[in-house]
Amino acid sequence: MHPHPVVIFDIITFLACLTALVFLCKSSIHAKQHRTQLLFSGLLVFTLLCYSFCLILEWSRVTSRLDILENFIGVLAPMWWAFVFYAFLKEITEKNLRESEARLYELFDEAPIGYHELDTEGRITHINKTELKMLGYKYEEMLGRPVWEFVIEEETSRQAVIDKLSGAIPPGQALERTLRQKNGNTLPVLCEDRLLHDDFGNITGIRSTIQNISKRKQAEYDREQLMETLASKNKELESILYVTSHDLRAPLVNIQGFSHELSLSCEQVRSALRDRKKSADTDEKLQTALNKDIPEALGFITNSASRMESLLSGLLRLSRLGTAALNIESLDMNTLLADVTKSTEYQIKQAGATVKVEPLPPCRGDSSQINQVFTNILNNALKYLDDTRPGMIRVYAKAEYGRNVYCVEDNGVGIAPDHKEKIFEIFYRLEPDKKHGEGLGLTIVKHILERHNGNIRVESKPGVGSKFFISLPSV
Amino acid sequence: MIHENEVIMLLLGVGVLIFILTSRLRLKQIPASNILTAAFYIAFASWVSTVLEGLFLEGLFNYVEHICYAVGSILLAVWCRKAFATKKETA
Repeated sequence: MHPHPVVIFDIITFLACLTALVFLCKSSIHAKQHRTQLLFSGLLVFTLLCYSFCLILEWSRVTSRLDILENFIGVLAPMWWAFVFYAFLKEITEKNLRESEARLYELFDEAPIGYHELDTEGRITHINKTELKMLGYKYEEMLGRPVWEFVIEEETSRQAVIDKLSGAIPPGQALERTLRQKNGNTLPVLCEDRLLHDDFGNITGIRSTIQNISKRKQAEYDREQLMETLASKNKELESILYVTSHDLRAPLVNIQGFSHELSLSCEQVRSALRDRKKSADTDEKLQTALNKDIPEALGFITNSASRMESLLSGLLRLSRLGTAALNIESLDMNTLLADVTKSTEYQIKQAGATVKVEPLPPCRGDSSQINQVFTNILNNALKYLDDTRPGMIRVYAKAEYGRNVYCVEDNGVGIAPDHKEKIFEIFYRLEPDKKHGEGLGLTIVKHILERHNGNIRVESKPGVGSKFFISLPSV
Repeated sequence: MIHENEVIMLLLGVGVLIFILTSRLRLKQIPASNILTAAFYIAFASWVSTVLEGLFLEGLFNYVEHICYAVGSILLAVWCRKAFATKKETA
Protein backbone atom coordinates (compact mmCIF):
# COMPACT_ATOMS: atom_id res chain seq x y z
CA MET A 1 0.00 0.00 0.00
CA HIS A 2 1.44 3.40 -1.06
CA PRO A 3 0.71 6.19 1.35
CA HIS A 4 -1.18 9.15 -0.03
CA PRO A 5 1.19 12.18 -0.41
CA VAL A 6 -1.03 14.23 1.92
CA VAL A 7 -0.19 11.85 4.75
CA ILE A 8 3.43 12.97 4.54
CA PHE A 9 2.33 16.49 5.50
CA ASP A 10 0.25 15.07 8.35
CA ILE A 11 3.26 13.14 9.58
CA ILE A 12 5.35 16.33 9.38
CA THR A 13 2.61 18.11 11.36
CA PHE A 14 2.61 15.33 13.94
CA LEU A 15 6.40 15.38 14.32
CA ALA A 16 6.51 19.20 14.54
CA CYS A 17 3.82 19.16 17.23
CA LEU A 18 5.64 16.43 19.09
CA THR A 19 8.85 18.49 19.02
CA ALA A 20 6.97 21.58 20.21
CA LEU A 21 5.45 19.59 23.03
CA VAL A 22 8.90 18.40 24.11
CA PHE A 23 10.15 22.05 24.15
CA LEU A 24 7.16 23.12 26.19
CA CYS A 25 7.57 20.26 28.67
CA LYS A 26 11.25 21.12 29.12
CA SER A 27 10.43 24.81 29.56
CA SER A 28 7.66 24.09 32.06
CA ILE A 29 10.14 22.33 34.38
CA HIS A 30 12.08 25.59 34.97
CA ALA A 31 9.24 28.00 34.39
CA LYS A 32 8.35 30.21 37.34
CA GLN A 33 6.44 32.68 35.23
CA HIS A 34 4.21 32.42 32.16
CA ARG A 35 2.62 29.22 33.45
CA THR A 36 -0.73 30.17 31.90
CA GLN A 37 0.85 30.85 28.52
CA LEU A 38 2.73 27.54 28.72
CA LEU A 39 -0.48 25.71 29.57
CA PHE A 40 -2.48 27.17 26.66
CA SER A 41 0.42 26.75 24.22
CA GLY A 42 0.70 23.12 25.39
CA LEU A 43 -3.03 22.59 24.88
CA LEU A 44 -2.86 24.09 21.38
CA VAL A 45 0.11 21.95 20.40
CA PHE A 46 -1.50 18.85 21.94
CA THR A 47 -4.73 19.52 20.02
CA LEU A 48 -2.82 19.84 16.75
CA LEU A 49 -0.88 16.68 17.63
CA CYS A 50 -4.11 14.77 18.23
CA TYR A 51 -5.69 16.23 15.09
CA SER A 52 -2.75 15.18 12.90
CA PHE A 53 -2.68 11.78 14.58
CA CYS A 54 -6.38 11.31 13.73
CA LEU A 55 -5.69 12.30 10.11
CA ILE A 56 -2.81 9.82 9.90
CA LEU A 57 -4.95 7.06 11.33
CA GLU A 58 -7.74 7.97 8.95
CA TRP A 59 -5.48 7.88 5.91
CA SER A 60 -3.78 4.70 6.98
CA ARG A 61 -7.25 3.17 7.30
CA VAL A 62 -6.51 1.79 10.76
CA THR A 63 -9.92 2.97 11.72
CA SER A 64 -12.56 5.10 10.04
CA ARG A 65 -14.46 5.92 13.24
CA LEU A 66 -12.43 8.99 14.17
CA ASP A 67 -14.55 11.52 12.29
CA ILE A 68 -16.44 12.78 15.35
CA LEU A 69 -13.24 13.03 17.40
CA GLU A 70 -11.43 14.72 14.50
CA ASN A 71 -14.24 17.26 14.07
CA PHE A 72 -14.33 18.00 17.80
CA ILE A 73 -10.56 18.41 18.05
CA GLY A 74 -10.56 20.57 14.92
CA VAL A 75 -13.01 23.02 16.49
CA LEU A 76 -10.86 23.24 19.63
CA ALA A 77 -7.78 24.49 17.72
CA PRO A 78 -8.97 28.09 17.01
CA MET A 79 -10.14 28.32 20.62
CA TRP A 80 -6.68 27.42 21.96
CA TRP A 81 -5.15 29.90 19.54
CA ALA A 82 -7.41 32.57 21.03
CA PHE A 83 -6.47 31.54 24.59
CA VAL A 84 -2.74 31.67 23.80
CA PHE A 85 -3.03 35.21 22.44
CA TYR A 86 -5.33 36.25 25.25
CA ALA A 87 -2.98 34.88 27.94
CA PHE A 88 -0.08 36.81 26.50
CA LEU A 89 -2.12 39.97 26.05
CA LYS A 90 -3.36 39.77 29.63
CA GLU A 91 0.18 39.49 30.93
CA ILE A 92 1.36 42.34 28.68
CA THR A 93 -1.49 44.55 29.83
CA GLU A 94 -0.79 43.80 33.50
CA LYS A 95 2.91 44.43 32.98
CA ASN A 96 2.19 47.74 31.21
CA LEU A 97 -0.15 48.71 34.04
CA ARG A 98 2.48 47.88 36.67
CA GLU A 99 5.09 49.88 34.76
CA SER A 100 2.68 52.76 34.35
CA GLU A 101 1.91 52.74 38.08
CA ALA A 102 5.63 52.59 38.87
CA ARG A 103 6.28 55.50 36.52
CA LEU A 104 3.46 57.50 38.06
CA TYR A 105 4.70 56.75 41.56
CA GLU A 106 8.24 57.65 40.55
CA LEU A 107 6.97 60.87 39.02
CA PHE A 108 5.12 61.66 42.26
CA ASP A 109 8.09 60.76 44.41
CA GLU A 110 10.93 62.19 42.38
CA ALA A 111 9.14 65.32 41.13
CA PRO A 112 11.16 68.52 41.46
CA ILE A 113 8.45 69.89 43.75
CA GLY A 114 7.04 68.55 47.00
CA TYR A 115 3.60 66.90 47.11
CA HIS A 116 1.43 65.99 50.02
CA GLU A 117 -2.17 64.97 50.50
CA LEU A 118 -4.33 65.70 53.52
CA ASP A 119 -7.42 63.94 54.82
CA THR A 120 -10.57 65.75 55.95
CA GLU A 121 -8.96 66.62 59.27
CA GLY A 122 -5.85 68.13 57.76
CA ARG A 123 -3.62 65.14 58.57
CA ILE A 124 -0.98 64.11 56.07
CA THR A 125 -1.92 60.91 54.21
CA HIS A 126 0.66 60.93 51.42
CA ILE A 127 3.93 62.77 51.05
CA ASN A 128 6.57 62.47 48.37
CA LYS A 129 10.32 62.02 48.77
CA THR A 130 11.10 65.54 47.52
CA GLU A 131 9.13 67.13 50.33
CA LEU A 132 10.61 64.73 52.90
CA LYS A 133 14.05 65.70 51.62
CA MET A 134 13.15 69.40 51.78
CA LEU A 135 12.10 69.16 55.42
CA GLY A 136 14.55 66.46 56.54
CA TYR A 137 11.88 64.16 58.01
CA LYS A 138 11.24 60.46 57.49
CA TYR A 139 7.95 59.30 55.93
CA GLU A 140 6.60 57.84 59.17
CA GLU A 141 7.55 61.00 61.10
CA MET A 142 5.18 63.12 59.00
CA LEU A 143 2.43 60.64 58.18
CA GLY A 144 -0.76 61.22 60.16
CA ARG A 145 0.39 64.54 61.65
CA PRO A 146 -1.57 67.76 61.01
CA VAL A 147 0.12 69.72 58.26
CA TRP A 148 0.15 73.01 60.21
CA GLU A 149 2.60 71.49 62.71
CA PHE A 150 5.25 71.97 60.03
CA VAL A 151 4.32 75.56 59.25
CA ILE A 152 5.79 78.54 61.10
CA GLU A 153 2.54 80.48 60.72
CA GLU A 154 0.83 77.55 62.50
CA GLU A 155 -2.47 79.13 63.54
CA THR A 156 -3.01 80.88 60.19
CA SER A 157 -2.27 77.67 58.32
CA ARG A 158 -4.55 75.57 60.56
CA GLN A 159 -7.45 77.95 60.06
CA ALA A 160 -6.88 78.11 56.30
CA VAL A 161 -6.78 74.29 55.97
CA ILE A 162 -9.95 73.85 58.04
CA ASP A 163 -11.75 76.54 56.04
CA LYS A 164 -10.74 74.96 52.74
CA LEU A 165 -11.81 71.49 53.87
CA SER A 166 -15.17 72.81 55.00
CA GLY A 167 -15.59 74.54 51.65
CA ALA A 168 -15.74 77.96 53.32
CA ILE A 169 -12.95 79.33 51.17
CA PRO A 170 -11.71 78.14 47.79
CA PRO A 171 -8.23 76.56 47.58
CA GLY A 172 -5.45 79.15 47.51
CA GLN A 173 -3.79 80.15 44.29
CA ALA A 174 -0.17 80.40 45.37
CA LEU A 175 0.58 81.15 48.99
CA GLU A 176 4.00 81.84 50.39
CA ARG A 177 4.56 79.90 53.59
CA THR A 178 7.52 79.22 55.83
CA LEU A 179 7.99 75.57 56.75
CA ARG A 180 9.81 74.27 59.79
CA GLN A 181 12.59 71.80 58.98
CA LYS A 182 13.53 68.95 61.30
CA ASN A 183 16.85 70.60 62.16
CA GLY A 184 15.02 73.74 63.30
CA ASN A 185 15.78 75.81 60.22
CA THR A 186 13.05 77.48 58.21
CA LEU A 187 12.29 77.01 54.54
CA PRO A 188 10.33 79.53 52.47
CA VAL A 189 7.99 77.74 50.06
CA LEU A 190 5.31 78.51 47.51
CA CYS A 191 2.26 76.39 48.28
CA GLU A 192 -0.54 75.62 45.81
CA ASP A 193 -3.41 73.30 46.62
CA ARG A 194 -6.56 71.80 45.20
CA LEU A 195 -9.45 69.99 46.77
CA LEU A 196 -10.01 66.23 46.36
CA HIS A 197 -13.58 64.98 45.91
CA ASP A 198 -15.26 61.57 45.99
CA ASP A 199 -17.74 60.32 43.38
CA PHE A 200 -20.55 62.25 45.08
CA GLY A 201 -18.69 65.55 45.06
CA ASN A 202 -17.88 65.54 48.77
CA ILE A 203 -14.53 66.99 49.80
CA THR A 204 -12.19 64.16 50.81
CA GLY A 205 -8.97 66.08 51.27
CA ILE A 206 -6.45 68.49 49.84
CA ARG A 207 -3.52 67.85 47.53
CA SER A 208 -0.78 70.47 47.79
CA THR A 209 2.35 71.21 45.83
CA ILE A 210 5.31 72.77 47.59
CA GLN A 211 8.03 74.67 45.78
CA ASN A 212 11.25 75.60 47.51
CA ILE A 213 11.70 79.35 46.94
CA SER A 214 14.67 79.87 49.25
CA LYS A 215 16.93 80.64 46.26
CA ARG A 216 14.39 83.13 44.94
CA LYS A 217 14.08 84.69 48.40
CA GLN A 218 17.86 84.86 48.70
CA ALA A 219 18.04 86.47 45.26
CA GLU A 220 15.39 89.00 46.29
CA TYR A 221 17.27 89.74 49.49
CA ASP A 222 20.53 90.08 47.55
CA ARG A 223 18.81 92.40 45.10
CA GLU A 224 17.48 94.55 47.91
CA GLN A 225 20.92 94.67 49.47
CA LEU A 226 22.39 95.59 46.13
CA MET A 227 19.82 98.31 45.64
CA GLU A 228 20.57 99.67 49.09
CA THR A 229 24.30 99.59 48.38
CA LEU A 230 23.68 101.24 45.04
CA ALA A 231 21.55 103.95 46.61
CA SER A 232 24.18 104.51 49.29
CA LYS A 233 26.94 104.67 46.67
CA ASN A 234 24.89 107.10 44.62
CA LYS A 235 24.37 109.28 47.67
CA GLU A 236 28.06 109.06 48.44
CA LEU A 237 28.93 109.95 44.88
CA GLU A 238 26.60 112.93 44.99
CA SER A 239 28.19 113.98 48.24
CA ILE A 240 31.69 113.59 46.80
CA LEU A 241 30.65 115.58 43.76
CA TYR A 242 29.18 118.33 45.88
CA VAL A 243 32.04 118.49 48.37
CA THR A 244 34.67 118.24 45.66
CA SER A 245 33.15 120.99 43.57
CA HIS A 246 32.68 123.12 46.68
CA ASP A 247 36.15 122.56 48.09
CA LEU A 248 37.88 122.87 44.76
CA ARG A 249 36.02 126.12 44.10
CA ALA A 250 37.41 127.83 47.20
CA PRO A 251 41.09 127.70 46.10
CA LEU A 252 40.03 128.67 42.60
CA VAL A 253 38.26 131.75 43.91
CA ASN A 254 41.41 132.54 45.87
CA ILE A 255 43.59 132.14 42.81
CA GLN A 256 41.24 134.31 40.78
CA GLY A 257 41.06 137.01 43.46
CA PHE A 258 44.76 137.19 44.14
CA SER A 259 45.60 137.06 40.45
CA HIS A 260 43.50 140.19 40.17
CA GLU A 261 45.35 141.66 43.13
CA LEU A 262 48.59 140.75 41.44
CA SER A 263 47.46 142.46 38.27
CA LEU A 264 46.58 145.61 40.25
CA SER A 265 49.97 145.52 41.95
CA CYS A 266 51.69 145.19 38.58
CA GLU A 267 49.71 148.19 37.35
CA GLN A 268 50.80 150.07 40.45
CA VAL A 269 54.43 149.21 39.72
CA ARG A 270 54.11 150.35 36.12
CA SER A 271 52.41 153.58 37.19
CA ALA A 272 55.06 154.20 39.87
CA LEU A 273 57.82 153.68 37.33
CA ARG A 274 56.15 156.21 34.98
CA ASP A 275 55.71 158.81 37.77
CA ARG A 276 59.14 158.25 39.27
CA LYS A 277 60.42 161.61 38.11
CA LYS A 278 57.33 163.60 39.10
CA SER A 279 56.71 162.40 42.64
CA ALA A 280 58.88 161.79 45.67
CA ASP A 281 56.79 159.12 47.32
CA THR A 282 56.98 156.86 44.27
CA ASP A 283 59.76 154.80 45.76
CA GLU A 284 57.65 154.06 48.80
CA LYS A 285 54.75 152.85 46.63
CA LEU A 286 57.12 150.75 44.59
CA GLN A 287 58.60 149.27 47.73
CA THR A 288 55.12 148.44 49.09
CA ALA A 289 54.00 146.77 45.87
CA LEU A 290 57.18 144.77 45.38
CA ASN A 291 57.78 143.78 49.01
CA LYS A 292 54.27 143.33 50.33
CA ASP A 293 51.41 143.13 47.86
CA ILE A 294 52.96 141.03 45.13
CA PRO A 295 54.58 138.40 47.45
CA GLU A 296 51.36 138.24 49.48
CA ALA A 297 49.25 137.59 46.38
CA LEU A 298 51.76 135.08 45.08
CA GLY A 299 51.72 133.34 48.47
CA PHE A 300 47.92 133.00 48.42
CA ILE A 301 47.99 131.73 44.86
CA THR A 302 50.66 129.15 45.73
CA ASN A 303 48.73 128.03 48.81
CA SER A 304 45.52 127.67 46.85
CA ALA A 305 47.26 125.70 44.16
CA SER A 306 48.77 123.44 46.85
CA ARG A 307 45.39 122.99 48.44
CA MET A 308 43.91 122.04 45.07
CA GLU A 309 46.73 119.59 44.45
CA SER A 310 46.19 118.12 47.91
CA LEU A 311 42.45 117.70 47.28
CA LEU A 312 43.02 116.13 43.90
CA SER A 313 45.66 113.72 45.20
CA GLY A 314 43.29 112.81 48.04
CA LEU A 315 40.59 112.03 45.51
CA LEU A 316 43.06 109.93 43.56
CA ARG A 317 44.04 107.99 46.67
CA LEU A 318 40.40 107.36 47.45
CA SER A 319 39.66 106.15 43.95
CA ARG A 320 42.69 103.84 44.05
CA LEU A 321 41.41 102.28 47.26
CA GLY A 322 38.38 100.95 45.39
CA THR A 323 40.47 99.18 42.76
CA ALA A 324 43.41 97.90 44.83
CA ALA A 325 43.46 94.09 45.03
CA LEU A 326 42.73 92.69 48.48
CA ASN A 327 44.80 89.90 49.94
CA ILE A 328 42.41 88.58 52.58
CA GLU A 329 44.10 86.49 55.24
CA SER A 330 43.97 85.79 58.94
CA LEU A 331 45.47 88.76 60.76
CA ASP A 332 47.18 88.71 64.12
CA MET A 333 45.72 91.97 65.43
CA ASN A 334 48.15 92.17 68.36
CA THR A 335 51.10 92.27 65.95
CA LEU A 336 49.27 94.66 63.63
CA LEU A 337 48.46 97.13 66.43
CA ALA A 338 52.06 96.87 67.69
CA ASP A 339 53.22 97.92 64.20
CA VAL A 340 50.71 100.77 64.13
CA THR A 341 51.75 102.16 67.53
CA LYS A 342 55.40 101.81 66.57
CA SER A 343 54.91 103.76 63.34
CA THR A 344 53.04 106.53 65.21
CA GLU A 345 55.43 106.57 68.15
CA TYR A 346 56.68 110.09 67.27
CA GLN A 347 53.15 111.56 67.21
CA ILE A 348 52.32 109.78 70.50
CA LYS A 349 55.37 111.33 72.15
CA GLN A 350 54.61 114.73 70.67
CA ALA A 351 51.05 114.56 72.03
CA GLY A 352 52.29 113.24 75.38
CA ALA A 353 49.64 110.52 75.23
CA THR A 354 49.52 106.98 76.55
CA VAL A 355 48.34 104.22 74.21
CA LYS A 356 47.21 100.99 75.83
CA VAL A 357 46.49 97.97 73.61
CA GLU A 358 44.69 95.06 75.25
CA PRO A 359 44.90 91.48 73.87
CA LEU A 360 43.00 91.42 70.57
CA PRO A 361 41.44 88.45 68.73
CA PRO A 362 42.50 87.75 65.13
CA CYS A 363 40.30 88.75 62.19
CA ARG A 364 40.23 88.36 58.41
CA GLY A 365 41.41 91.16 56.16
CA ASP A 366 44.13 92.70 54.03
CA SER A 367 47.11 93.41 56.28
CA SER A 368 48.19 96.74 54.75
CA GLN A 369 44.65 98.14 54.48
CA ILE A 370 43.63 97.19 58.03
CA ASN A 371 46.92 98.72 59.17
CA GLN A 372 45.85 101.91 57.35
CA VAL A 373 42.47 101.82 59.16
CA PHE A 374 44.00 101.71 62.64
CA THR A 375 46.75 104.19 61.72
CA ASN A 376 44.16 106.73 60.56
CA ILE A 377 41.98 106.28 63.65
CA LEU A 378 44.95 106.47 66.01
CA ASN A 379 46.23 109.60 64.23
CA ASN A 380 42.79 111.16 64.52
CA ALA A 381 42.62 110.30 68.22
CA LEU A 382 46.05 111.88 68.77
CA LYS A 383 45.15 114.94 66.71
CA TYR A 384 41.98 115.68 68.64
CA LEU A 385 43.24 115.11 72.20
CA ASP A 386 42.17 117.59 74.84
CA ASP A 387 45.07 119.87 75.78
CA THR A 388 43.71 120.32 79.30
CA ARG A 389 44.34 116.68 80.38
CA PRO A 390 46.84 113.90 79.62
CA GLY A 391 45.86 111.98 76.53
CA MET A 392 44.78 108.37 77.04
CA ILE A 393 43.99 106.02 74.17
CA ARG A 394 42.83 102.46 74.77
CA VAL A 395 42.35 99.73 72.15
CA TYR A 396 40.31 96.65 73.05
CA ALA A 397 37.94 94.16 71.38
CA LYS A 398 34.89 92.00 71.92
CA ALA A 399 33.13 89.29 69.91
CA GLU A 400 29.66 90.15 68.60
CA TYR A 401 27.44 87.91 66.38
CA GLY A 402 30.36 86.01 64.85
CA ARG A 403 32.36 89.17 64.25
CA ASN A 404 35.09 90.96 66.14
CA VAL A 405 34.42 94.53 67.19
CA TYR A 406 37.60 96.52 67.90
CA CYS A 407 37.25 99.73 69.87
CA VAL A 408 39.63 102.68 69.86
CA GLU A 409 38.70 104.83 72.83
CA ASP A 410 40.19 108.24 73.58
CA ASN A 411 39.63 111.01 76.10
CA GLY A 412 39.89 113.76 73.49
CA VAL A 413 37.70 116.71 72.70
CA GLY A 414 34.84 114.49 71.50
CA ILE A 415 32.45 115.02 68.62
CA ALA A 416 29.22 116.97 68.72
CA PRO A 417 26.15 114.87 67.78
CA ASP A 418 25.63 116.95 64.61
CA HIS A 419 29.03 115.98 63.29
CA LYS A 420 28.89 112.25 64.04
CA GLU A 421 27.86 111.20 60.54
CA LYS A 422 29.61 114.04 58.71
CA ILE A 423 33.07 113.06 59.95
CA PHE A 424 33.02 110.13 57.47
CA GLU A 425 32.30 112.43 54.53
CA ILE A 426 35.07 113.27 52.15
CA PHE A 427 37.16 116.39 52.96
CA TYR A 428 35.17 117.00 56.13
CA ARG A 429 37.24 118.38 59.00
CA LEU A 430 36.12 119.14 62.54
CA GLU A 431 38.37 122.13 63.18
CA PRO A 432 39.76 123.16 59.79
CA ASP A 433 41.42 126.29 61.16
CA LYS A 434 43.14 124.64 64.08
CA LYS A 435 44.13 121.22 62.74
CA HIS A 436 45.98 120.23 59.62
CA GLY A 437 44.69 117.51 57.34
CA GLU A 438 42.82 116.76 54.16
CA GLY A 439 39.62 115.47 55.71
CA LEU A 440 40.17 112.07 54.13
CA GLY A 441 41.27 109.84 57.03
CA LEU A 442 37.89 108.56 58.14
CA THR A 443 36.53 108.47 54.58
CA ILE A 444 39.36 106.11 53.68
CA VAL A 445 38.67 104.05 56.82
CA LYS A 446 35.02 103.70 55.86
CA HIS A 447 35.87 102.67 52.29
CA ILE A 448 38.38 100.08 53.41
CA LEU A 449 35.97 98.58 55.93
CA GLU A 450 33.16 98.40 53.37
CA ARG A 451 35.44 96.42 51.07
CA HIS A 452 36.21 94.08 53.99
CA ASN A 453 32.52 93.51 54.74
CA GLY A 454 33.07 95.48 57.91
CA ASN A 455 31.74 98.71 59.29
CA ILE A 456 32.54 101.58 61.63
CA ARG A 457 30.45 103.55 64.09
CA VAL A 458 31.24 106.19 66.64
CA GLU A 459 30.06 107.02 70.14
CA SER A 460 31.18 110.32 71.52
CA LYS A 461 30.52 112.97 74.13
CA PRO A 462 31.94 116.46 73.61
CA GLY A 463 34.53 117.17 76.30
CA VAL A 464 34.69 113.52 77.42
CA GLY A 465 36.05 111.54 74.49
CA SER A 466 35.17 109.27 71.58
CA LYS A 467 34.88 105.55 70.92
CA PHE A 468 35.34 104.24 67.37
CA PHE A 469 33.93 100.71 66.94
CA ILE A 470 35.38 98.78 64.00
CA SER A 471 33.61 95.57 63.10
CA LEU A 472 35.50 92.95 61.04
CA PRO A 473 34.82 89.30 60.12
CA SER A 474 36.33 86.92 62.65
CA VAL A 475 38.58 84.02 61.64
CA MET B 1 -19.51 19.16 0.45
CA ILE B 2 -19.14 21.57 3.36
CA HIS B 3 -19.10 20.17 6.88
CA GLU B 4 -20.60 22.12 9.78
CA ASN B 5 -17.52 21.74 11.97
CA GLU B 6 -15.34 23.24 9.21
CA VAL B 7 -17.56 26.35 9.05
CA ILE B 8 -17.47 26.62 12.86
CA MET B 9 -13.66 26.34 12.76
CA LEU B 10 -13.50 29.10 10.16
CA LEU B 11 -15.85 31.37 12.08
CA LEU B 12 -13.90 30.89 15.27
CA GLY B 13 -10.72 31.53 13.28
CA VAL B 14 -12.20 34.77 11.90
CA GLY B 15 -12.96 35.84 15.48
CA VAL B 16 -9.38 35.18 16.54
CA LEU B 17 -8.11 36.94 13.40
CA ILE B 18 -10.12 40.05 14.22
CA PHE B 19 -8.84 39.91 17.80
CA ILE B 20 -5.24 39.68 16.55
CA LEU B 21 -5.64 42.47 14.02
CA THR B 22 -7.16 44.84 16.56
CA SER B 23 -4.46 44.09 19.13
CA ARG B 24 -1.51 43.83 16.77
CA LEU B 25 0.43 46.68 18.41
CA ARG B 26 0.27 45.11 21.85
CA LEU B 27 0.90 41.63 20.42
CA LYS B 28 4.29 42.85 19.19
CA GLN B 29 5.42 42.62 22.82
CA ILE B 30 4.99 38.79 22.76
CA PRO B 31 8.41 37.17 22.39
CA ALA B 32 9.02 36.19 18.73
CA SER B 33 5.54 37.50 17.96
CA ASN B 34 6.10 37.52 14.19
CA ILE B 35 6.63 33.73 14.17
CA LEU B 36 3.53 33.11 16.30
CA THR B 37 1.30 35.35 14.18
CA ALA B 38 2.71 33.83 10.98
CA ALA B 39 1.86 30.37 12.36
CA PHE B 40 -1.68 31.55 13.09
CA TYR B 41 -2.15 33.12 9.63
CA ILE B 42 -1.04 29.82 8.04
CA ALA B 43 -3.39 27.87 10.32
CA PHE B 44 -6.15 30.27 9.30
CA ALA B 45 -5.28 29.62 5.64
CA SER B 46 -5.70 25.88 6.31
CA TRP B 47 -9.19 26.49 7.76
CA VAL B 48 -10.15 28.56 4.72
CA SER B 49 -8.81 25.81 2.45
CA THR B 50 -10.87 23.23 4.34
CA VAL B 51 -14.05 25.17 3.61
CA LEU B 52 -13.10 25.92 -0.02
CA GLU B 53 -12.27 22.24 -0.51
CA GLY B 54 -15.98 21.49 -0.09
CA LEU B 55 -16.92 24.02 -2.79
CA PHE B 56 -14.44 23.54 -5.65
CA LEU B 57 -10.97 22.24 -6.52
CA GLU B 58 -11.19 19.62 -3.81
CA GLY B 59 -7.84 18.01 -4.54
CA LEU B 60 -5.86 21.26 -4.67
CA PHE B 61 -7.35 22.78 -1.52
CA ASN B 62 -6.90 19.45 0.30
CA TYR B 63 -3.18 19.67 -0.47
CA VAL B 64 -3.08 23.32 0.56
CA GLU B 65 -4.87 22.50 3.81
CA HIS B 66 -2.39 19.82 4.85
CA ILE B 67 0.63 21.78 3.70
CA CYS B 68 -0.61 24.72 5.79
CA TYR B 69 -1.05 22.43 8.82
CA ALA B 70 2.50 21.17 8.42
CA VAL B 71 4.09 24.60 7.92
CA GLY B 72 2.00 26.12 10.74
CA SER B 73 3.05 23.34 13.12
CA ILE B 74 6.72 23.78 12.24
CA LEU B 75 6.46 27.52 12.88
CA LEU B 76 4.66 26.83 16.16
CA ALA B 77 7.44 24.47 17.22
CA VAL B 78 10.05 27.12 16.35
CA TRP B 79 8.09 29.74 18.30
CA CYS B 80 7.79 27.44 21.37
CA ARG B 81 11.54 26.95 21.29
CA LYS B 82 12.32 30.68 20.86
CA ALA B 83 9.67 32.19 23.09
CA PHE B 84 10.01 30.01 26.15
CA ALA B 85 13.75 29.42 25.88
CA THR B 86 14.22 33.21 25.81
CA LYS B 87 11.99 33.59 28.82
CA LYS B 88 13.94 30.97 30.75
CA GLU B 89 17.30 32.62 29.96
CA THR B 90 16.11 36.05 30.94
CA ALA B 91 14.57 34.68 34.11
